[in-house]
Amino acid sequence: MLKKSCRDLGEALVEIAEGKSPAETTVRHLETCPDCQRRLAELRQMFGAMATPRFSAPANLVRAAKALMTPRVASMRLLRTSLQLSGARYSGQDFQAVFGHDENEIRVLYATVDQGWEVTGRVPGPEWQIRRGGEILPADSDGRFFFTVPSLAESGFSMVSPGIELDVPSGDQLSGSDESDGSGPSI
Amino acid sequence: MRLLHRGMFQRESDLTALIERCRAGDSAAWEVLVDRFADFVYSVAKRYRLNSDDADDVFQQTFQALHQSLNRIENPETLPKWLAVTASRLSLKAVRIQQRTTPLQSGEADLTEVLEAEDASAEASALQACEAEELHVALVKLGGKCQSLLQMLYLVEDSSYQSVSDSLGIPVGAIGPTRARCLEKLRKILVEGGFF
Repeated sequence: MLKKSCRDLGEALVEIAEGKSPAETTVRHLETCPDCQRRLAELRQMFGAMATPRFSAPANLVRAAKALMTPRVASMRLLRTSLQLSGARYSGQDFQAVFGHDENEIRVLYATVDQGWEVTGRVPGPEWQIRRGGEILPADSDGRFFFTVPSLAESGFSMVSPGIELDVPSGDQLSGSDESDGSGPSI
Repeated sequence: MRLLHRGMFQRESDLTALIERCRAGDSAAWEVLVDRFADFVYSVAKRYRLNSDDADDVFQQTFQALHQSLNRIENPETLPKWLAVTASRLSLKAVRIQQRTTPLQSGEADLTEVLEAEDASAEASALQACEAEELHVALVKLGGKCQSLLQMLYLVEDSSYQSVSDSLGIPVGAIGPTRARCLEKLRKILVEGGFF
């Protein structure tokens, strides 16, 4: 009697895994072929997993679970800027600004580049990350980050740490006034 | 128990990054995490044949526990098992309350034995849940006609060769050999993912 090759046993192994009685030749082959024994065991494990029912979570439950992490959102306030006093117009030159919220501050440098503006800053501590457009921006080991935008109107970003998100307004919203004493650029 | 989840759910680097972002308070990352495991967690509860209210409670409590434990999950690779064991334990508790009887009350076993039995049951349930989920992910990865064929044959009740032939345009006589080839492809995907 011819011995069936392992390749020929594909369908037979599936049927055995499904519970059907094997042919005698198949039984003899399985007795001596560890590869087919392993394939059969794997098929049985696969069928076992397929037989485990799977259910879709109701949408309302998923929404409620997502709402467990809703950050407190606040806007950072402009504290100081190197722009000229009110009366001067912002003229496309590099400038800096310091934003704050409670005890948190961030200094941001806006520099003109060929592609538009390069925005550079450093996060105030290791627990903070910068997010822009739904993506976390990479920062170096000193917490410095940067990104480039075609216009100042697109330079807004957020500082994120567990439980809070602080929005830093875009550079085009800066009035250019020094909020401290009005005597000149404070940076 | 074999090491559960060797990358079938998600590459470890992806899951690590996702959990790190969740720890940082990134609510968008949290939403991705919930979406990824919502059906998985809910399925654990439903397999205990809990009523809808109890299954919903298990789901909510599991994700609440995850939200509170994010900083304590040292190895992201263990997250699927952690979720499955947590949901299983909560489900067993609901079953006990539902039945309003415990071996302790009947005097058949002491508390330690009851808890050990429940732990073993939760672990077994978690293994079953993880394997089912890994297979689901592998089926999606298989894709195409193979995915459709295997889903119709094994995941749809009362699916005959004729109905499969009518739906997929495969001659009835070719379904058996095609099925075997598709299962072999699926098996290889699972082997690569460390399922076995």
